[in-house]
Amino acid sequence: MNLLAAASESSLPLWMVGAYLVALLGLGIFSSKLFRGTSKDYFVASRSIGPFMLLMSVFGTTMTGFALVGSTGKAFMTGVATFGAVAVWSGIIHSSVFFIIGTRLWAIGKRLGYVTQVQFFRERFQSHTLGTVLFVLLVLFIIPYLLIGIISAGKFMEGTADITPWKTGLVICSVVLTYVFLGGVRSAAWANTFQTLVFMLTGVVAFAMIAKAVAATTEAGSGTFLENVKRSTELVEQVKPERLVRGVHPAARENHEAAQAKYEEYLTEKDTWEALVNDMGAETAATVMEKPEEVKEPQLKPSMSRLLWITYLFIPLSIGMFPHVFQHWLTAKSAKTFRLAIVAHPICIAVVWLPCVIIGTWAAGLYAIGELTLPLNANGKVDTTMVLGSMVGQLVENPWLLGLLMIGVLAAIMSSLDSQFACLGTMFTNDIILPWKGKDYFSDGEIVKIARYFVVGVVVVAYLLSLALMKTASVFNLGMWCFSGFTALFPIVFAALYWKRATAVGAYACIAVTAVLWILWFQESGYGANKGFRVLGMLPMAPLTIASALALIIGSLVSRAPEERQINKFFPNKAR
Amino acid sequence: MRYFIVALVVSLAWLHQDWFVWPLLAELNDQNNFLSWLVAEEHEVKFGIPANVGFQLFLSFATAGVALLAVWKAWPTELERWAEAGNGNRGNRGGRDRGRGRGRGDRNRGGRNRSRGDGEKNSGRSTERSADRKSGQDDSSHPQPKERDDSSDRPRRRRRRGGRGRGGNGGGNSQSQPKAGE
Repeated sequence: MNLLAAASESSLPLWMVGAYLVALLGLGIFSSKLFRGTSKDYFVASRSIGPFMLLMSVFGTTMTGFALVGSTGKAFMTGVATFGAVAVWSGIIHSSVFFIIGTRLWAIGKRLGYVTQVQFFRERFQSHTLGTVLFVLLVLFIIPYLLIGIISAGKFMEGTADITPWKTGLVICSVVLTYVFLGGVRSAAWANTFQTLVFMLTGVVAFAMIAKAVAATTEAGSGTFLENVKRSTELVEQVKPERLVRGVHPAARENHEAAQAKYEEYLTEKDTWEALVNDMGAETAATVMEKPEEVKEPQLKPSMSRLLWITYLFIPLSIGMFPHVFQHWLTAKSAKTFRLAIVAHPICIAVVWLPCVIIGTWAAGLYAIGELTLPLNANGKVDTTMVLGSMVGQLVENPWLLGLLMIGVLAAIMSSLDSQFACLGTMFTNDIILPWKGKDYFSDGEIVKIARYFVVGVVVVAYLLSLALMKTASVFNLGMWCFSGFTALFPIVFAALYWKRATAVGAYACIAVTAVLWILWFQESGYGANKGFRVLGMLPMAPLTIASALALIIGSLVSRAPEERQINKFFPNKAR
Repeated sequence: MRYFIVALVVSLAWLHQDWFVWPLLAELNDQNNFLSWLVAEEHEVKFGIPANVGFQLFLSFATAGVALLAVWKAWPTELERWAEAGNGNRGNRGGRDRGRGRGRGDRNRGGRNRSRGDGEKNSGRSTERSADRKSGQDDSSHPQPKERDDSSDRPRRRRRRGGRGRGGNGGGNSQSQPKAGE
């Protein structure tokens, strides 16, 4: 504490971040002491993780930096509809996927000894090549996702503490690499548990302090917690009411009616003007009346259309195909271990997302009345990634909270990064090296060593790629589109588990349709630059997933059914 | 019960499309009955948050409630038994004595009588043998996960075989030969 007191106020947040990273490193090293030295422990923690750690590690893995920074920015632009569209849908879909996909994959993984998705798909569809194709796709989809984490951390620290991104990337990659290298998935699970608790706490604390600061800008001033929240939201109701609904706010409707009347008046004047011009010519007409100024036709749009709102349900389906989540599922001690995660996951999502979405909505109100300034991006629009940082920096001006916010954002990012690094190391080892060299070629200790080398390799490559792509926005656009890819492949895992008739041909058809449509629409969207790109008014992943599912069904039905005796081992009811 | 749970989940997804909820609530409010304390308008601020956010928050908790009901009443216990029991069955199929002797403390825990805690250790080896049996049919380049998982146990298992005299005629590994010769 003396050290912190001696530090200047402005450097306090950085000291806090440093202390957090040291604590995380210490926890990682401590957890690596529990490492049992076997490959099974390195890849799936000997299938010994209990309910609480499974909940925290899976939740932490699925929540990236987007949960704190992105949700606030999205709410700034769209309003409270963000909460229902993303968070509530995720709660419903994630819990269902854990129940119907997670437990089943865990059982199959435990019974047949899998540690990666590709191993399961290779045997379920009896096709080594299909597994390799899926391996390539999964790696291609996950790398941009991983890069987003490193780049986001760099940009966030640059914006809040003026630290160059390469330094931030180097530090977080080194910390994550250390504990994943030493303890594998077990260390990642311990670290995720700690980090998840930290970023959940961050959201709640930031919410309370920002509510007080926003309420202080109102006439009534700040009061109790509930009064602060109420006054802050009422401020938005007065100045930016459309942010408080998914549909159309009555105030916006009134404004629209006024604008419509003005537009109709303009149309009448325009008709008169055109008639005069036809009769007398433009110059003479100008002496009779002024040329009416153009008024655009007002459009009454809801914050989010109904169709768009529905199709948001496809986003969380991607969790069923995330290889890093699959690996965490396999760490469960028993199927019962899933119970807590299934029940508590929707509440955890609400705890993290609700404060951030409300803060983003308040920011829209404050921005409208000029109480908040936000930096502009290269396109001249508000840089929404800076909304949360600006709210804390400009309103609260508390270095402790700023430090806590930095820690929370880094925790959210790193809790995904470690799982992704561990997962890629596991996949390269188990899906490429071991099948290539043969099952008996390496001893167990050597397999752990290979996995560690791959983890180092993945971290180094990811870090270098992040440096190369730091200045480009395209990686973010690509990363967002990668979610669509995972979602579109979801029918494969569902069919593999519940439809005995599903075949490798069907899976190939699913992959081919996904690849073709994905490339086509990605190109049409300006390689992700057009964030409002829709297909028939839906998020592209909705038609993409429907098309890929149809392809899987048709492909499976037209191909020869798999032999029952070979696939029965994947179906509990008919198992031999 | 499982169909009931599925119906509840579908209901949650249906309720999530909340645009039909607000007119219904408005009617309740107009009637001035005991439910009239419920909000009538989507945008109305209650307890500091808009009513629509409150409704979605309620759905989050309702999802947790349905999930609780699902894990309580519709839990796939057969799946767990399948994952656990499959290990034991497979282990016993090839000779139950093969499942023992991993550690000194395990000497008396063989076959069907071993404790549940041993299930996982034995499961690895039993599946490994299963994979061995299959390896003649499969492409050798295909993954054999259990081999990898527990490959560190292989020498000890062979010693056990050798000790039982099956591989003692030179077919066992070098560790088993001295025992067979004794």
